[in-house]
Amino acid sequence: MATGAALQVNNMNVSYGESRVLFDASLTFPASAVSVIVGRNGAGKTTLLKAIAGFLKPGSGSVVLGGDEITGLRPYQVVRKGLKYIPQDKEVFSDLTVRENLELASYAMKDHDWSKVLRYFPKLQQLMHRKGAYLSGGERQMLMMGRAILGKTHVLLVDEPTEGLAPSIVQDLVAAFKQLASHCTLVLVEQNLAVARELADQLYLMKEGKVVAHLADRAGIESLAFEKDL
Amino acid sequence: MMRLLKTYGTILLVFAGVGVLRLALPGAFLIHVTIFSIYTMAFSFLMGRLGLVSFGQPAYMGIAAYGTGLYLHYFGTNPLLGMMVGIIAGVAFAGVIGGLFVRLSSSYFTLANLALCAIGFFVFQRALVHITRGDTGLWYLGRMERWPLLNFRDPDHFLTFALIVAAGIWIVVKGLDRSVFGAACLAVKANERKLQFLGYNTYRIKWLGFVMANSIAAVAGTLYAVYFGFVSPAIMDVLRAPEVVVVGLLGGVGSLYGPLIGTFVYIAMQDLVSAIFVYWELVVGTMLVLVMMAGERGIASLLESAPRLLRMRARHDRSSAG
Amino acid sequence: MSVPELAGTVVIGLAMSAIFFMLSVGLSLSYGLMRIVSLDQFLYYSVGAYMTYVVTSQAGNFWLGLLTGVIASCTLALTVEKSLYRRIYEKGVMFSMITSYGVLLVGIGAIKYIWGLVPRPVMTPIVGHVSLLGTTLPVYRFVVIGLAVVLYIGLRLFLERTIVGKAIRAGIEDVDKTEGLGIDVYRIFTLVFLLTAGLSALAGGIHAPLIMVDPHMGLKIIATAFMIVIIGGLGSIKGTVVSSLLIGQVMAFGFTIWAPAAEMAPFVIMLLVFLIRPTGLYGSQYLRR
Ligand SMILES: Nc1ncnc2c1ncn2[C@@H]1O[C@H](COP(=O)(O)OP(=O)(O)O)[C@@H](O)[C@H]1O
Ligand SMILES: [Mg+2]
Repeated sequence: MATGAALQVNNMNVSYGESRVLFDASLTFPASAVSVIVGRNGAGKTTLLKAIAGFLKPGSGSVVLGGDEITGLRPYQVVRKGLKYIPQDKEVFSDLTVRENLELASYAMKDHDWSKVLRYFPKLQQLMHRKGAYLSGGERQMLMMGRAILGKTHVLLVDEPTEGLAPSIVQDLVAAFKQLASHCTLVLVEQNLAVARELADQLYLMKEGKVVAHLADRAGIESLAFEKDL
Repeated sequence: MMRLLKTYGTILLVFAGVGVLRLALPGAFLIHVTIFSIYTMAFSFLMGRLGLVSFGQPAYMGIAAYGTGLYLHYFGTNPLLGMMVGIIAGVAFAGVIGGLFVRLSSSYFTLANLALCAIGFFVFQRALVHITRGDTGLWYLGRMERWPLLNFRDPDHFLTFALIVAAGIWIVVKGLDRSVFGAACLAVKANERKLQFLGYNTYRIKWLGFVMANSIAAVAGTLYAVYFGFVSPAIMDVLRAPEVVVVGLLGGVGSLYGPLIGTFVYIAMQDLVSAIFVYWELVVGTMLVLVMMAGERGIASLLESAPRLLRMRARHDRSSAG
Repeated sequence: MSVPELAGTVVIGLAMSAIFFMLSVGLSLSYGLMRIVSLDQFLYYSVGAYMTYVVTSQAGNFWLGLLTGVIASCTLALTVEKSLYRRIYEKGVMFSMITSYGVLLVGIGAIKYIWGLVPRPVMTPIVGHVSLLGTTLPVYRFVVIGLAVVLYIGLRLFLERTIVGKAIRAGIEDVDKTEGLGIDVYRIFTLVFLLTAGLSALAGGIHAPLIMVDPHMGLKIIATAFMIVIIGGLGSIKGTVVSSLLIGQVMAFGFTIWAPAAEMAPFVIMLLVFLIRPTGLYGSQYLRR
């Protein structure tokens, strides 16, 4: 197997009770590259990310993070190994302020230096005392990403970050992802093909719980079209 | 007719079998098993078919027992009429309380029932002491009419009567399980929200199921009332509320014969244990923890599902080998 | 009702509220965070009371007894948490309720075995009285009320100012997201469980001089404690405070008017609350899992 992989998923199967939703998924995410996973709603993208992050127990298969097997670890242990997962729902703790949200991540990761966070997401500075409940979707996404990059971060899994956001905010996020890409391995689930094409170094296509295509060259990625391929 | 007998014949056979055990076992034990298994059936119906766990079942049994007891103590002497009064009281009570309680989400439902039971105990022990005579209880054993064919003071008569009642209840429950209503109950248990989306009135289904289940508890209550010829607040003691939960889980909730098997094992054990050991809480508590940790499914469903499990295991082995 | 009578009743009610609060706030918090209904807390309540009884009668020091009770209960709670709850947390509310009832029963059996069935009296640690609005009231009741107020303020400060408190509040909103930050939520669960056990034990010890200590004391107070939690709304501390105050007063006035009413009234209130809000006064309907 390739040694340059930051994260590798081998033959993963996941079921919810009786219904199986992920079939033998194998994916490789090279270090310092941006990988994008695309697929229609219900294809199993979220399920894949949750299983990698330890929130779902796979029926079989393994997850290897930088040479370490992390299959079956509890989610907090996975996080402490430097693999962060940002869920799709854009929910931050609504009763806690932005500052308190960041404090919790600092406490968990033992990293109290917020300069990096504020460099990537300067807007958070003015929002420090606002409660999560009163943030906009874009602000919540930024806060979630800010929380995630505290402490060591080798791999960042982000589930549909641009879903439901205004185009100008999407552009801000894309810029932030481009900067982040030089610090860690990014794995994005993205339905917005324009964003996917702009960011992806490689791309996986999922359909009905299976990985059906892997495009590792720019030409293939550029030619991707929604109606035709998804 | 043949089809009915084929469907329900097993039930008749099982309860006839319990009757035959009388040749080897004391009548009092078998009567206790029969009545308590009816009581457990009510709990099992609630939990297994509606997903409602009640920690206050003694209340529903106790109300009916008091209905019977008050009638036989103050008004009449006909035990069958007394039982009717008790059952009507129990059903009416379940109807009113059910209307309030089945709206509650599961934790609230369980705790509200616990509170209800505590209050019921208190009402019959203290608040209505002038009528119920508190802990002294109401006595009417001598007042009950006796008939040549049905003498409630004769254990064998009573056992036969109780077994027939129990078989009747099991037939009704099995019939319900096979009906549209039974399917609706299970659907509510599995996914209530989905059913609501589809436009079903899940509240009505739950209410009806709740009333049916506690009508069964009411029957158990009236049977105890005429069997002992005496009723006291002890019947709805909140301290005994967990007992039926233990027995229900021991037999496996939702299965048809679980309540009977669980009760049989539990009462046999209790009789053996309490003969040598007075701290029954130690035994019941330990059993409860062990049963839960062992996997929630109880003895009966383990027996029922063993063949299916084996088949599934075999298939799994084949598919993973291939 | 005269002014002295009124003042006396209010103070008695407040002292009851104080004990109810100590007993139910932890239950509510545990439900909010771990989605468990931990009936074994009523064992720790009894253990707290019994240890207070033992130390008070043997060594003559009530406060030392209280401390012993809290330590003993927390040790017991830690054992139960480590051996059983790790498997309970994943299974949901019903499972926890039934299993913990088993633990409670075992404990009651053990208490009966050790101390027998006879109720035991505990000496009041402070025998003085104060005059207030024309009536004399035992100082001890004011101490109880004061202690509850201190605990409430302490709990609020803990939850709002400390990082662990913030993690608890975050966990009440969403356990998975809290763990997703890299926080070992099971350690926080253990902490809240012990906090609840400590508060239950304290409630038991404090309550002991006002009642008799007996093996069934835990079972006797379950219904009231849970009515308070339910009326307030599962998972809400504010709700617990409000309903403790409400039920304390209702019971105190009930006792002075018609004793049987005192035990009935909370139930009536609970039914009324259910008619209006099926999730209690401050409970969120989204708090389910
Ligand atoms: N908690 C769940 N229980 C049962 N089925 C689920 C659950 N979550 C998702 N599914 C099912 O799994 C499949 C994949 O879902 P998901 O991973 O969320 O897809 P995607 O993120 O690609 O839209 C879907 O068919 C969905 O209905
Ligand atoms: Mg998704």
